[in-house]
Amino acid sequence: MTDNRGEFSKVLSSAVRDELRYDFLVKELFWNSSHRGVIRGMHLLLSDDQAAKVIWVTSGRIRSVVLDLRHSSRTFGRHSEYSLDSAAGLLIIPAGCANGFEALADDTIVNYAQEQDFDASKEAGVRWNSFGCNWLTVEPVISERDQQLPRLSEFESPFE
Amino acid sequence: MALVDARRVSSIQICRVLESKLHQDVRGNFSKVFSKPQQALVQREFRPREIFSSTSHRGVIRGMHIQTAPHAVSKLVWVTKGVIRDVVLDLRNDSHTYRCFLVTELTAESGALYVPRGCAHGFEVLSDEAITNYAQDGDYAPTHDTGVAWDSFGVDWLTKIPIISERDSKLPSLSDFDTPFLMADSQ
Repeated sequence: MTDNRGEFSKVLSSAVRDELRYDFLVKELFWNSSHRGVIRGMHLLLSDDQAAKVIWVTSGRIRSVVLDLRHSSRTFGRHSEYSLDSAAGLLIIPAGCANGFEALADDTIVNYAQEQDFDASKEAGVRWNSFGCNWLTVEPVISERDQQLPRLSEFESPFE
Repeated sequence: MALVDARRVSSIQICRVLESKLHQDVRGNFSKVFSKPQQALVQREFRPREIFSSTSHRGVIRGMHIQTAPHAVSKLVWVTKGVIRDVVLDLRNDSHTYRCFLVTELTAESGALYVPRGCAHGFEVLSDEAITNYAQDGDYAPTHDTGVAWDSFGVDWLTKIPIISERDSKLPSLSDFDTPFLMADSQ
């Protein structure tokens, strides 16, 4: 919704829950801001309780990538891409899928709500350039930690 | 007409900023605004049901908003871009800060402000653009969504001629607001 004051958008609500047919239980809220050319990812949580994550963008634009790491899924090992900006609404990332993004604009803000409490021992990921994603960013600004994540071929997914 | 208590107070019971660290590196910033450490600072368990975001231009005032029982909500408010001057007005009839207000500047470095049930919330935008995000622990209920007029309770807004919605400009003044809230609502 846009008016003379600016924009307003509802991210999570009972209508969204009804549409998802899922009672999303928020335990953590966090956000990051990124310059153009930053890649963050691919991250996932090794949880047993099917904890999901939702993301939404409030400034700038990203290409968000979701990588399916659930063995029994028909799309195991495959990824999909979503262009997100402040008009896009939310993206839900189910348990067992890794998520990352490239920032396509300066001053891009990505927000997260997560169903699981932080536990460093449950943090995992897959290297950004190891699963066939055709990133638009050729030489990304990326953290050392993300650069050293295991390749998809080395990643032993605990998700059935 | 009741007198408006225009004392500026440093503290409204159980309303507080839940601090969080803004991590900065070559990629940009990161901040976790709500997790176990912040939950531990709040008296009642806070379980977000609704989340929304707004982008506002300089000179915008949004507020003062509150939802009444049985749809009263606690809120978290955090800023990811720009600067807002945030105002919380205590409408709990038996609170010793009843009708007093708290003014806090919020930026991306501040962490989240916790607004308990029984307190109305609003803000003015001090930067060209500000992104304000909210989480509340109950669903939006249009029939119970009300508020207090921004210019009716003594805040010295820095914005003299604000950009404000028609709805907000028609909210009752504090002296006309017959409050149903008690401290017990927020504990």
